[in-house]
Amino acid sequence: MPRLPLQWRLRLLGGVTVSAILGFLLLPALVVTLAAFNSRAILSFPPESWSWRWFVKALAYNDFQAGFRNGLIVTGWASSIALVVGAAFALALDRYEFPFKRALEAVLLSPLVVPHFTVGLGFLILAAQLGMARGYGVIVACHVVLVLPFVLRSVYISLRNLDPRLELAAASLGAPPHRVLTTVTLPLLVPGLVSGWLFAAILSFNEFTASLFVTAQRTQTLPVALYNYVREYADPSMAAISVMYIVVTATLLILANVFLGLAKVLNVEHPR
Amino acid sequence: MSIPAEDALSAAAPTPATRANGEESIAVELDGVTKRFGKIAALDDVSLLVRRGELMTLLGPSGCGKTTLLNLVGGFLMPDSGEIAIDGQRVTNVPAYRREIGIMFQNYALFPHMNVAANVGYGLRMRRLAKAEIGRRVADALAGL
Repeated sequence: MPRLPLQWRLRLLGGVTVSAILGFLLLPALVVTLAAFNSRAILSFPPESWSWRWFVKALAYNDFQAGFRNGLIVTGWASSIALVVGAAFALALDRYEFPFKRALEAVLLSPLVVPHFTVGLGFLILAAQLGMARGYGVIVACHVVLVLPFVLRSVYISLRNLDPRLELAAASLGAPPHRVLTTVTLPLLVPGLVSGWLFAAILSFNEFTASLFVTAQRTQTLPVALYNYVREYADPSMAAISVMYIVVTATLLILANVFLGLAKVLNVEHPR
Repeated sequence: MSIPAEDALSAAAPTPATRANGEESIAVELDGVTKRFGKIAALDDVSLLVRRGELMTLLGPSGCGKTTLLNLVGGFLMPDSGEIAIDGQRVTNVPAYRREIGIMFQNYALFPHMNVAANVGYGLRMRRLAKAEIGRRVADALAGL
C-alpha cells in the first residue's frame, strides 16, 4: 500500500479526533433523547417501544409547571439586572483607569471559580441573618451574581471590538456624550448585550446547585423541581423534560447565531 | 506642503492665542501646546498658525505627534499646557462636540449601523434640525456625488 502524504494523514487524524470529541459531547444528549421516547416506566436504554407519553406526563405535572413559571420569573429578573449591572461594569473597566481596577475585575469574575454551592450557601446564610423570607429576592440576587461574569465578558468583548474613532467622529459632528452613547455606542453593542442576556438567561434557567439552597417549596425553579422528582420517582418524564430543555436551548442559540452572529460576539473572527 | 511652514511658526511664536481674537484671517492657532502621555512628551511647546483658506500639511515619521496634534485641535484630547484657538475663539477647554469643526478620519469612521443617508445626516440630527430639512440637505449633498 502506498504511503499517504503526511498532510493527508494529518488531515485524517484531525477529522477522526474532532468526530470523537463531538460524539463524546453529544452522546449523553442522544441517550437521554432515546430514553425519553421509551414507553416503559423505567429509565432504560435502549428503549423497546416508543411513545410520547412521558412528554405528556411531564407537561401535566404540577411541580414542573410551577417550576417552569418560577424559573421564568427568576431568569427574567436575574438576567435583566445582570445585563444592566454587567454592561455598566464592562464600560467602566474598558474606559477608565482607577485604583483596584484589577481587583474589581477579579471579584466580578470570581463566580466562575467559586463553586455554586458556596455561593448558594452564602446567600442562604445571609438571607437567614437578614431575616429575609426565602422569596424570589434571594434567588434573583444569587443568580445575578452567578451570571454576571458572562454578561460582563460578552459586553466587554463587544466594547473591545468597537472602533473608538466612531465615538470621536460622532463627538466632532456635535454629539454630546449622552447622545454618543445612545446613537453610536449602544446600537453597536446590541449583539454583545443580547448575547450576554441570552447566556445569562440560559445559565440562570438551568442553574441547580445554588438554587437548591435558596429556593423553597413555593419558589423552586425547574431544575430543583426535577431533582425533587427524581428523588422519589425514576420514570422517563425526567428524560422528556431534558429533551425539551435541549430543544429550547438549542433553538435559542441557533436563533442568536443567525440574527446576531455568535462568532462575531465571541470574538472568534475579525479580532481588532 | 502648501504653506510656508517657517512663516507660520515664526508668526505664531510671538503671538499668544488670546491675542488672535478678532483677527479674521487666522483659522487655527496653537500656542505653546504641550501634551504628555506618561513620561513621553508627544508635543513639546508647539506653536502653529493656520490662516483662513490655507492648506496645512503635517509631515513626519509615525510617533512624532501628528495625530496627537490633530486630536488636540479636534478636542478629543486636552493639552497639559498651552492654548488652542479656532476662529479667534479660545477653545482649549471646549469639548469636541461644541467646537463646530469637522474631522476626517483615516479609516473614514463611518457608522456601520446606519445607512448612507443617516451617516450623512448625523451632524444635522445632532443639531436637532427638522426631519424634512435634514432629508432635503442630505439629498442635496448626495446629489453632488
